[in-house]
Amino acid sequence: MKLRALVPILVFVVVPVGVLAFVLHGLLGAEWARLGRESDGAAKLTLAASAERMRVVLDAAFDGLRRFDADDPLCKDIRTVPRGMASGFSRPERESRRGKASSIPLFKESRRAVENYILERGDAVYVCRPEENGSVTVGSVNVTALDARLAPLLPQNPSAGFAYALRRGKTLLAQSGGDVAQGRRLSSETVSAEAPGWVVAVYRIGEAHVAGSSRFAANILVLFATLAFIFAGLVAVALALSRARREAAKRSDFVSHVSHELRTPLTSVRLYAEMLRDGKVPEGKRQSYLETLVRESERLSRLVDHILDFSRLDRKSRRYSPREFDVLSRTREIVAMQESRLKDAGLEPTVAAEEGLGEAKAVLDPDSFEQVLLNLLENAARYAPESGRLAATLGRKEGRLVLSVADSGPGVPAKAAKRLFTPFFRAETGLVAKVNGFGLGLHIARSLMRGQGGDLTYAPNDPHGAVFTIVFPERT
Amino acid sequence: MKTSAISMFAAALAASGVIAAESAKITVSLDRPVLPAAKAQHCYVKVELEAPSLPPAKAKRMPVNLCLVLDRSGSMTGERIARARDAVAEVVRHLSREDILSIVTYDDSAEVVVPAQHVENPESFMPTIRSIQPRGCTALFAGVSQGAAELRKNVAGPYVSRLVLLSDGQANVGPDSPAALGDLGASLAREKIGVSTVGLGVGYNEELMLTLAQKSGANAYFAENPRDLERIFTDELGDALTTVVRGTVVTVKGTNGVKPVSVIGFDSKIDGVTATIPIDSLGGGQKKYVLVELEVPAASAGTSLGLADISIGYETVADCRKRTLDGQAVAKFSDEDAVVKSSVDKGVAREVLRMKNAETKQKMYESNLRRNLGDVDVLGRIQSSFNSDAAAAYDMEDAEMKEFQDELSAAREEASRAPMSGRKLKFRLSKSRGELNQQRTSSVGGSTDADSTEKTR
Repeated sequence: MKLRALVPILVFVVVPVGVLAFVLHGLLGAEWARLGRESDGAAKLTLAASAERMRVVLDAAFDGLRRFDADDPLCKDIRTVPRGMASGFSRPERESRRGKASSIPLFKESRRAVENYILERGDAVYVCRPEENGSVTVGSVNVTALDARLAPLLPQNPSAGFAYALRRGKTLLAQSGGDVAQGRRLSSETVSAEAPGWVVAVYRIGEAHVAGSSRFAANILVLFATLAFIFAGLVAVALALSRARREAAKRSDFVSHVSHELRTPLTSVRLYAEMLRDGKVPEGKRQSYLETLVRESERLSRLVDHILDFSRLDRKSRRYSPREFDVLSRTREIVAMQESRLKDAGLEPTVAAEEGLGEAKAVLDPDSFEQVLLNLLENAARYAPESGRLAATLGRKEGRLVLSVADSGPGVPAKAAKRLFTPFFRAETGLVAKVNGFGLGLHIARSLMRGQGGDLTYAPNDPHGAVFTIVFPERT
Repeated sequence: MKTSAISMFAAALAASGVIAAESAKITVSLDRPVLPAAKAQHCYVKVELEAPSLPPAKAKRMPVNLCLVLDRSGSMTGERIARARDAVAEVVRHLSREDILSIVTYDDSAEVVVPAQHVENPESFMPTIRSIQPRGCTALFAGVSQGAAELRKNVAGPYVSRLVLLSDGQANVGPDSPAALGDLGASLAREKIGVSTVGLGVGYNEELMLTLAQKSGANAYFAENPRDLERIFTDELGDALTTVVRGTVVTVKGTNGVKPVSVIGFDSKIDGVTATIPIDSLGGGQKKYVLVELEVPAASAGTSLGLADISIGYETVADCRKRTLDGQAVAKFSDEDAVVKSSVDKGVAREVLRMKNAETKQKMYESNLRRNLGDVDVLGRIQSSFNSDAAAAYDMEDAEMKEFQDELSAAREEASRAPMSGRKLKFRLSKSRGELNQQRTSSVGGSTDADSTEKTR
């Protein structure tokens, strides 16, 4: 896995998610707290309203019970307890103060209840009325029926996250909104001051956990984001290091390339020059030795030019002097100049224009145009010798001029075609291995064309060979 | 099958052809209209109420204020909830716009799924019914409370108010003792709300369900299989639809030193010389009777004595009017044994024996349920001696007595041997409870008896 492939993921996914997580965590944390407080408040209001409804029902129920009506559904039974036996029923306050009533008092005596008071003994609840003759009328209260009147008054369909419970003493009578055993009690309220045995309470269930889990998720996200940032940093450092290393390697490659390329002609020049100085050359061969010296010097200066070009283009400091010229005639001139060299290499150069091209003028730096074309012709001579026709064709495509140079040589292997324009790249085929070169020519040519709004591309020729196409803007 | 119960009632409606305004009838009879003179003794008075016939078919039937309270706790999965939904859907399809329907479900808490409303279009309830899914605990008390609250909205109107409670498990949220639920049932009965209970499978608390139904004066059912639910629900609806009289209370007040001692089969309250027996609702043309045991002081031969003043208070559903019927139990006293014996009302005598035996059988099964196997034999011995005393007093044929004795021995044998399976107990208890309550609909699911069902397994 290349580090570079991680860059888009880091830039477009990991880092934004991390940033978002940090921001959300900050914002939501405050919002959650606020919402929590608000909804807790609302739930407490709902609780109070529910308790109030129950209070009304309880009060009405006891008003009814104090009428001692045997048909009252909340009344189990009505009896009259004679004077002697009534004592137990006549001291409710003392009884409840001594704690003889049920362990959790359901009722508290109140002013209202003095006349017809409410009494608990054991599990039973009574309404009592002292009569004039000393006896006491006792109505036993159907507490379960009373429970059943209150239970439906719990909040129905409470908002998510809250549950309500109604208890009498320790008995859970009913709940709504969920199982309160799973929740945390927020608040509770006694239904009626007169009947403190019934208590309604509100619980936080589920949602608190939901909020907790989303908070947990956010924390995980933040952790993930932090890790992502660290990871991104490490990747960036690694990328910088590997780039620096590659730069260094490239530079040393360049130096070794250059030294190697310069050494070959230099060696020739030195050897021939030494032989000539020492007078060891037969008279008949002197001329040919001198020609070799000149040729090798030319090659040397060409190499130096290339290196300078490359260096200038690499630094983007190459200056162009554009001029208007007729492309077809300029092409013919350049090809004609090289004709003998190309013929020596076994090539038949032709220059033609597409049908109906008409006048084709461009504004380009003529020297760079010449350099590009010469490079293509030179390449054909070197890499596709003895392959017959070398056709330069000028045409027009999408408002631009197109000059293609097609040979019928071995062409470029598909795998190498992709990197053809990369500096110092040379396709490692048998043929190429025999040919000297920097692997800079095509890179320089393309850079020259691109620097002036044009381009240089490669395509395989049919059935074999290479087609290099120069594209550049037409002067209109 | 599904519509049979309903169509049966419809046929009954059509056949009766009697006008609704016809009033109820009271019949008071003694097991022995002539009692032996000069000794204190016990005798039985039978008070029977015959409800007025149903209105003719073309007239409107009684509208119903129905609340279906469904257990949807976690145990109601699969076929159970599916069959329960089908049963509910079937019941709802039989309702019309005069009827009021509410549906309550309960799990951890009770939820009003359908608030009390007129049934304008039964199909509109179907999506809601289909959406009922099982989950959570069994808050039976909350379910009943909520259902009662829905019924209470219309309880004052001219409706038969009925709560049908379905449960397959033990109540585990809220009050869960049979006594507490019995109190609730009794209170609801006073509000003219009947609670019919349907126990599904063998996991429910039969004591709680029976007590709740019994105290509220409605029916108890045992559905062994979820397939039985539809029939039970439609039967129950049929029962509610044909109810013409509700809030029925029989009062027997002893006169001339006579005291009521016990009441067979029904839950009653005896305060001094007055016995109050709520028997709640009756269907059109239905007869229900109570048997009250009286303690009669010694009287001299040739006298005629008023034993008790009897009154039946009831409310007709059609017009919500309270009515009262009065009667009196009068006995003659004679020295001659032959006169006493020839006076025996064989019909009443048989019913006394039948109900006493049924009551004892229920007690035997309840003892078995509480694992008090020793009590079963004691109960059996007491009942046997009662039977032989009665045979002598009523001058009954041996063959006739043998029938009661055989049934009793079979029950005694079954209940005293070993703890019975929950399923069998539920069958037996539901049957004897149905018998004692004179329930019109079959109290156990499926058409087969417990034994034959067992054989097929």
